[in-house]
Amino acid sequence: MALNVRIVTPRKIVFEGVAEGVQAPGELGEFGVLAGHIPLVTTLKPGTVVIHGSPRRTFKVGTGFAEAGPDRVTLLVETCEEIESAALAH
Amino acid sequence: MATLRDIRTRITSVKSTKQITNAMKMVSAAKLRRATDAAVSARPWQETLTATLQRIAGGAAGGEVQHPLLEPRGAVKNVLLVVVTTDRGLCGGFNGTLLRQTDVWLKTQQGTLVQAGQDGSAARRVRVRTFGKKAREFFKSRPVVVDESTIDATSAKFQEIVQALSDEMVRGFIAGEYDECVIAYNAFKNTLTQTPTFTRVLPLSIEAGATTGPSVDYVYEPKGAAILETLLPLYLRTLLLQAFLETGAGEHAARMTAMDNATRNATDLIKSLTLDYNRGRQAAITKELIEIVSGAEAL
Repeated sequence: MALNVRIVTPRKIVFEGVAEGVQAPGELGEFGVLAGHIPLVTTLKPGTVVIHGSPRRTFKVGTGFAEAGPDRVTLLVETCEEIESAALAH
Repeated sequence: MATLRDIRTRITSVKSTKQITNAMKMVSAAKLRRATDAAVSARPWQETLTATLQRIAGGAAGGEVQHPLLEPRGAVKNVLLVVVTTDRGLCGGFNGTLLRQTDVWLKTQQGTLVQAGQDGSAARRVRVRTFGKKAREFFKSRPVVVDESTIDATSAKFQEIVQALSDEMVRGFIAGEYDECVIAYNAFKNTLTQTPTFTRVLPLSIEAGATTGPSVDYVYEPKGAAILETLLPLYLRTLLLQAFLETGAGEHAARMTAMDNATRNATDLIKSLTLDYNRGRQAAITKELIEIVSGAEAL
């Protein structure tokens, strides 16, 4: 089962696509979502979001919140910027 | 009676005005598209946030929904009014209508102020913050104390502005400096209609949403009211951002409509001036002919 991921900021939808899993910085701690997750609403603190898929993508996000369901994850964040994979390698 | 040369000069000047208004119309049309795009792309965010808050307000999070930002004050004494206008003119009645209504709004507020003062309670005070040159100029000539006026609020800065403004509102509201925060802006209905709107943003009101679709039991983390601590300021920011985005889109729409009218008026004017000019020219020719003919007859 695939996971539909959306990262939304007030300006635009930054990312929309299918992934295997998502890792996000929850206010109560880092958490991961895979397909089949129970419905969850949680707040996010500024940090890094990793979308596991091909390719693997990393985003730097501001505060916001996440809504997860069995087949989808929506991250609503105030700011979001993709971190270049090259920069990450260093 | 205007001479032919006068009419010719006027036609030339109206023509160049028409060129300018026409160009401004084109520019506004392009900017309008960008501004509405920005407003539209903010929508998924707004909808998801509102839906989530409504679910929480509907008691889905378990426990009482209580938060200082949601609680109305018994006696409203201090009001913060934020007026959002544009920096530039030439957009019809866009700013004028809003500012006139703001004036009326302030007067009714001050009316309640006097009444409140009479029954012994402390006077009600309205504090004003403005955005845009037009609002600043408007209040300069009025006995209204403006706390702060910001100009040059371009769309690229909306996010920063909204962030700062919401922080100030939340701080002031919690500290008891303001009992109510109101934002006055032009709501963007469509390209032809923008309506001056006064929205109370603090205390926030969230109606428990009519749950449509299959109800899902969400797990909330952190639980209940604690999650509101993060979500409510976000919601406030969404409301404010919407006001700015709609003002941005409305400004270009209003300017486009105004410039379209101006262009059309110029076309009409040129038409009637050309008619006058040709009539005058014809009259001059006829007059000359009569002179020649009668001169020939006299011989």
